[in-house]
Amino acid sequence: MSPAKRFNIFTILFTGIPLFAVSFGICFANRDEPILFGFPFLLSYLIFWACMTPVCLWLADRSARR
Amino acid sequence: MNSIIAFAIVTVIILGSMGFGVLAVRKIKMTPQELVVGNRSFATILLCVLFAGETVTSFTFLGASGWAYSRGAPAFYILGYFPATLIVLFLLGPTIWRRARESNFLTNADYFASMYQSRLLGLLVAICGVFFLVLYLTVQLTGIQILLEIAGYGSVQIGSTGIIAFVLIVIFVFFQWAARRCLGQYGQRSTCSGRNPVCWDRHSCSFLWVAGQSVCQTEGSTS
Repeated sequence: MSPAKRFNIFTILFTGIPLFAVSFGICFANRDEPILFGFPFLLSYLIFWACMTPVCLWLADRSARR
Repeated sequence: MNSIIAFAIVTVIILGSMGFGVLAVRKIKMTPQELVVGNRSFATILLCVLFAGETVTSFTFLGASGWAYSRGAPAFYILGYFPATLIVLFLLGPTIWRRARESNFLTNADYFASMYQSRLLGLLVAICGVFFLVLYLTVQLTGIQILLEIAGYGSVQIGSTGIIAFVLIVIFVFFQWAARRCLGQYGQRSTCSGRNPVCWDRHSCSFLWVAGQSVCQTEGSTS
């Protein structure tokens, strides 16, 4: 069993940013323009954060290990 | 003709996955822990696939696309709640897993009853769990009905496909001798009297949970 991880400021930052982005940041991304890759901005914003969340969580995990 | 081919494919996949399931547990000595939480020994890849099976249900295939078709952009929230779930799971999951492993919990009710020293809370969690699992099962059964109806090109009625799906699930869960044996062992444990809400929850909830799993599996393989 791996030992319990200690959360620090980086963990909070790396988990907080995507959580804020998908739950509250949507209010600021709620528009069509600019159209990226043929998607409206809101959709590409959400897809971007859905792809970025694992990366952020990996970083958070790494920072918690130290 | 089309419907026969489609049904043959669906039948082969369902029976195949059921057969693999039965074969896989044949040599494993069944304990309650083995049945409910897989002896806490799932590998990373298996756990990933299980997470995918838990999240990507018939709602994702049918409900979400229907939402997007009828409501438009508000259905994008579906893309947002996956990351949010992952983050909450990342923060809370390891702690819960560690505590559950240390104290050998099997269900949610175990956790709450033990952590807050309250059988009443355990009972409440158990009732809520069973209640909402039934709702969830209903949604999944409706989904599988629609899927089987589409697979049959409308040649079967909605009700009968639902019954077929339910019978398949019940067979998958209850036909395995392992599950029965597990239930037998469980009932004989001295800590498990008939009135203990936690144990009552374990009996019903674990089987409903396994039923839910098999719904996801069956329906995941059909879609």
